[in-house]
Amino acid sequence: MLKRNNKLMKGGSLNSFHKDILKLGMFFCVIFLLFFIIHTKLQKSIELQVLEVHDTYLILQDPKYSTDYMVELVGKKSTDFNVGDLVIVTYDGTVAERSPGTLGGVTKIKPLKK
Amino acid sequence: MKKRIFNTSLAVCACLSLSIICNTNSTVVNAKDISDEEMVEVIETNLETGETTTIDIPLSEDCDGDTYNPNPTVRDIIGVDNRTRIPTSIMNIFPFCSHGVVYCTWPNGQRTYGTGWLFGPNDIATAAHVVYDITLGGAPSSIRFYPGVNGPSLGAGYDAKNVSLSAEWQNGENPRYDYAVFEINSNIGDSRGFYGWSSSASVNNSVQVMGYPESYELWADTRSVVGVDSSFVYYDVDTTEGESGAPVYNTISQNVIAIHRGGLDSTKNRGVRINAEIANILSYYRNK
Repeated sequence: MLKRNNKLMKGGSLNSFHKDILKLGMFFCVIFLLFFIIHTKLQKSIELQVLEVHDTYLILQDPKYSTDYMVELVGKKSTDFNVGDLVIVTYDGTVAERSPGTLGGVTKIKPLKK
Repeated sequence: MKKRIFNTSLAVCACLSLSIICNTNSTVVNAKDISDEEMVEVIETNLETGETTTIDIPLSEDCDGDTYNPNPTVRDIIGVDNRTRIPTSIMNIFPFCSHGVVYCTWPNGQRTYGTGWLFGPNDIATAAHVVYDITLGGAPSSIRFYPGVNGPSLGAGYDAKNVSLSAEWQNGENPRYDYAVFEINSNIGDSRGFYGWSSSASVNNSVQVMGYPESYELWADTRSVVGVDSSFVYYDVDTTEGESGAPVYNTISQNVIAIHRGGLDSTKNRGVRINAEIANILSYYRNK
């Protein structure tokens, strides 16, 4: 401890100590960035068309494959959607394969056009 | 020198963290390490009265179940390498006739379906999300099992008299507990045959998933297990909506090793592994 204090009092040692702290901070920043990039990469978006509007969920269809999905309303009200609307759903990439399918970890339902 | 060591260790730490993050889903665990709990809690709902009962099932070590096949000569039919529709002409043969559509009607009128399979004379297994959905109000108002279906119509069905799910699923739909069993009033498994199961699963096992995508047609694909952990089996078998609840069938050991749940990413799908907990539940209901 005494040694460390002595080092801190000297200009050069103080710089080196700060550099170490800075590097440690950078290390944690890199780790945080890695987590962020991986998390973002895992998120997927899919364009779907509204087939049915219910109080707590929507029935959506993938026009490309005619596959239906049930998506819980997240951050939106049922009145925000009408049958035929196109929406972009952001989810975690997992699908529970009941029919209609259920998209997992939905974070956003963005209407494309009304 | 110190600087170089520091920078090198930083790089190593970053690489290690990255590899840990990337490999979370491919851990291989031995069947023996599965669970050390002594009891498993299941909530059984009587669909006629709406009464719920909590059942504590004691865990025993050896709880694998045998397959019952009334016509064993046709087993070799299983084993195609690409997803293909099962011919309607063989739908009266095991194991095809032991699959069925699990059709649910929910309190708000919404209708959904998945796949179920016989594991006892009147016992059917499926995925929990097929028969329980918090968004749709919890338990459905009716569950009906249509065995041996292969499109386009459903044919004769059997009403479920009760459905049993893990308490963990009902408390928050944790994907690890995405399994359910229910009973019907007829012992159709005695004539159709029923699946056995095993808690033994490992990478490169050849597995088949056979279920009901759109139009109630029975489709199957056979490929390999690409990862196993204590809760899931991961595989590159092709599946689509409607196949949830289908048995993930080891074509070599001829036992079910997981219950199909759905897609995970573009390289693999996954099913809930028949671990000691689920194996004990299946044993309990088959012998009930």
